[in-house]
Amino acid sequence: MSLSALPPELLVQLLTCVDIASLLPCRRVCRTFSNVIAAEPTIQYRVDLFFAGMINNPETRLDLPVIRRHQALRDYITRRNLLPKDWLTRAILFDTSKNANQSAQWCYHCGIFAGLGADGRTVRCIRFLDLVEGNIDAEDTEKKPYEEWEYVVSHIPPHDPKRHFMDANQDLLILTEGLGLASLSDTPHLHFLSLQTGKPHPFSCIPKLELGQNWTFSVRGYDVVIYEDLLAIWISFNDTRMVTSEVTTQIEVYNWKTGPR
Amino acid sequence: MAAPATQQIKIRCNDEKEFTVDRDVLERSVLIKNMLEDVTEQQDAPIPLPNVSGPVMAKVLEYCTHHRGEPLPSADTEQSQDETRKRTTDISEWDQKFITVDQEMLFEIILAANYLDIKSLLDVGCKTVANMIKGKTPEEIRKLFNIVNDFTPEEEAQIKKENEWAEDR
Repeated sequence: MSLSALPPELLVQLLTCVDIASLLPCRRVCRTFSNVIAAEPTIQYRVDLFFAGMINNPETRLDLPVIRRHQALRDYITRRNLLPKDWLTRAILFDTSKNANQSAQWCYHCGIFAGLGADGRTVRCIRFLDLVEGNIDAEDTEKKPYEEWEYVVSHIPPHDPKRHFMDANQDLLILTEGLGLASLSDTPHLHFLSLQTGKPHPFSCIPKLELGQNWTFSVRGYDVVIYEDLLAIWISFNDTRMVTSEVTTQIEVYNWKTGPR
Repeated sequence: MAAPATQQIKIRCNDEKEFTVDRDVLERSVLIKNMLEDVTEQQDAPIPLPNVSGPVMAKVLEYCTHHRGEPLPSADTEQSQDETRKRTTDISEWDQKFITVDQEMLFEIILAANYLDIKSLLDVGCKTVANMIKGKTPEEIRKLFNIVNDFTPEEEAQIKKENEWAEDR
């Protein structure tokens, strides 16, 4: 009796127990190992997650069957592989005001500019294919090859003042809603969208994150910082229950894939 | 009222070796448990287990005796079992000592645990093999389990390249 004589379904059980760092060498051992890993979605999914750099949160979207999650991940990787080679190391600053294209505000991350229209749900993206690091002026970008796409985030109502934040490496676009002086009665919330399509992000179990109901303060300013699975929301506000108009700041941390921590 | 005497069950392995075992010990095996529930009379004839040999069964019974009386995992805890199965290091001290056997016996136990449907024992076996694989290079794994590398050089280079790309990040 030897390992290679075990039936495939037992090899699946065995390899399910193997941690991801050891799974990679296992793929190279022999055809049988490699085939078992590739044929078993729950195992191949972990390998693909690792390749996608998402080992931190393999449990994302537990509500979906593993085959669906696997497909979503493969789509994601396909899109990522289309990105330029030095994609991950790019970081340039760029004044987008000259390139405004009638959009109210622009965001930049890793080669992609995302503009949010005044209606609060039209998004226009421009990806420069050949930008180098460093500051760049608008004239320069005109000579550079680029591609652009546009969509309307139709499941979000128009006109509420919104802001957007992005992480192009994770194909993430965050739209904030109800966070402003004019919309105190709303429950402020964040939408997690795919930057590519404007649809709810495939890796978030919570397409919409509600920040709290019946806030009794008016938001003066806020910022959202995305770091891998986590996002931090910094808010400065006046507490309307207080007589003095002292400004308070607060930072809250959430996991955008799994929900509030 | 005296407690009813523990029922004794006879089993026969594929090498004609027979064991007489307390029913609750044998019922660690879901396969045998279901068999016993189906049969209400004529318990004199030994239950045939054509897929298990005597030495392996002795080892399996040692495990079942030690763990008798523990709750059996139910079908709807499958999900959480998958969770615990991933953590390869948490094998109890007794189980670890129990499973310190040669490879031949280890894989026989895994096969038997699968056939007899003893989930916890199958887990211990699989985790043990996973721990043996841990931190080894492909060549070391082949050597450890006596596996022949049947990749063409091109195929091997391709997988190696994919792996390296992931390890770089």
